[in-house]
Amino acid sequence: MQRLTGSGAALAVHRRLNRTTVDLPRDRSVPALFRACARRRPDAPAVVHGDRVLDYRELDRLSDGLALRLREHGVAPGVTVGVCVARSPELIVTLLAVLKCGAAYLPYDPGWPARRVLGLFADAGCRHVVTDRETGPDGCVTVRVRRNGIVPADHGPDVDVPPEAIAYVNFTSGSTGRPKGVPIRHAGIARLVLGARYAPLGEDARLLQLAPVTFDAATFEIWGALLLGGTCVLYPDGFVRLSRLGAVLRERRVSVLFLTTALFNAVMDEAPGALDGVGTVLTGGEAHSPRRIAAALRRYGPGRLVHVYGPTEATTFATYHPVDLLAEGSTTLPIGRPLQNTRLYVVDGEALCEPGRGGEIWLAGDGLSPGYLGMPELTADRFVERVVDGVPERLYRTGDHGYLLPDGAAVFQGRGDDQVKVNGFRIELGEVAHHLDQHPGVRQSHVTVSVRGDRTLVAFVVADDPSCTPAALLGHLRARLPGYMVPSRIHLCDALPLTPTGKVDRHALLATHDEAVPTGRRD
Amino acid sequence: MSSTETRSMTATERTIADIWSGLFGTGITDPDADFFALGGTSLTAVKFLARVEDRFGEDALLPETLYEDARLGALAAAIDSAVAAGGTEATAGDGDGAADAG
Repeated sequence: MQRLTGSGAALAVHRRLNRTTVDLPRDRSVPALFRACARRRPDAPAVVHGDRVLDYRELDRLSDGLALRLREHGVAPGVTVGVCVARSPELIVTLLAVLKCGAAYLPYDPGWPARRVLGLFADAGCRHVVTDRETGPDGCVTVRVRRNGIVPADHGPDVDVPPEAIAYVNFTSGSTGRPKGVPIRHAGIARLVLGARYAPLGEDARLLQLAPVTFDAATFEIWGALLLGGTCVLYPDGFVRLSRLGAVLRERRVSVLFLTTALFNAVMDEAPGALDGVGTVLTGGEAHSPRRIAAALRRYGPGRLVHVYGPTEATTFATYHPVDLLAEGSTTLPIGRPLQNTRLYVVDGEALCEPGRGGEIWLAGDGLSPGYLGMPELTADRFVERVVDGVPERLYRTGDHGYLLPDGAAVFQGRGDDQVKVNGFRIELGEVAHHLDQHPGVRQSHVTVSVRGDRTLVAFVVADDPSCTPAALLGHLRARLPGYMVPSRIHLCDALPLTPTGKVDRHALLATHDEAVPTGRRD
Repeated sequence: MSSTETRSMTATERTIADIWSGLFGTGITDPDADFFALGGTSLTAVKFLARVEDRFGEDALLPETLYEDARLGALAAAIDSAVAAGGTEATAGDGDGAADAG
């Protein structure tokens, strides 16, 4: 096995940084951890949704009942089950029931194009669906759940779920046009929520479930409550409204909240009072604005705000940085140190970097995905094995660049490729361009991010054919991509301008965009 | 460019146009301008709705209404009828700390 080398100083700082081992129970599958809570506190509130409250006993019995029904439909250990249920107690019952069968859930959104959903299902070998809608995708065994329509049971299926089993699959954007399926093990979820030092989780904790369940922040929001005896408070509406968010946080006494960087910034700008009563606010996903972090520190005081970082491939969060003071004029906010049972390395070539030297961020620990579904080459490229400091380690190469501060906290510096974050969504610009280029009338395309106002995707197209209008191209993309990956504007151009070095001139294109969109009238 | 035959805007439309000008960094003069065509995202929508509630009161404009018809004129009409129905209540306290963050 190859070895990561490094100077004495580089080895020492990584050794200090990565002393994160916390003992975990041997039986740490999600159903086992949940059942332990249900036995300990059967009457404690598990899920709150508007006026509905499910206690641990009810949630256990309902998920046992649904799990038995799923077994009858062939949901056996190792099976993947598509889940399309609106945020509701039934959603939580469904996720738990799938896991009690030893199966994995694959959340999908009803707004995604049917052909995309079918592609994801094919990649994941998914032939079963649980939904609260009229029908599931063609060719799937579909189990419908209705509000208050699940029959409870005293015992679930007799299945022993090992911690290495896959618990769920999330998809992230893929630069070749094909989304990447990221399977996550039960052990990855246990790693995220057990022995946590980044937030006070436990029986008194009340976590808001706000993220779409297709997004891996939901892993933290749901299992961070339910595997520790806490309460998962479901945000009651489909769309976020800050006045409503503030009311829910207050009235439901939410103690731990995760907000994407983009939403956190919006709250700070528009309604900072919404977070006044929340004990711990976790935020991350994109580079933070020091101005808003400083404003948050002034308003909420120290000990309340935590900056978190982590790719889907390492189960939601990999590092955390409590924001207790911000040096005057500071322009960087560290992503901090690895979570419990997680390790972080900054690597340049095959060498560990000393503090201050930039490299790629590599992650290790129980949170790592076993690899991308059906993509052995990409998996072999991104998930590697090395001997580090005398110990064999499986590592995920994130593609993120960063460096360590002298005290060991990591700082994120950006990426060397075309992966961007827009409104909290991780997008490979190449995936959008791939689908544009598939259109028969498109000769050439370029997709980029406009930062005027909120960050939005903008595409520039050189067309071969007069029928290739922006409206037709938008329709083409909407039939293939989820809404958040469809550019908010497509411009036709005679040619893509080039820089003197022969690259597409992004700045010139964005200047065209700014000129062309002064009134916002639909054309 | 905005069309020269554009009719003059109502007071509510002008308020929305002001909010949009702030959000999109460009002057808005056309009551047919569309929030999403301007580049509005779900995040911009969160900000826009917060500012509408600041000016017109809570529940003056629901997200569902915005996602149904995002033209400036239609939104102003929806706000006017919500305000006329008296279902809204000013929430002057909510935007307090925004001054130094803006």
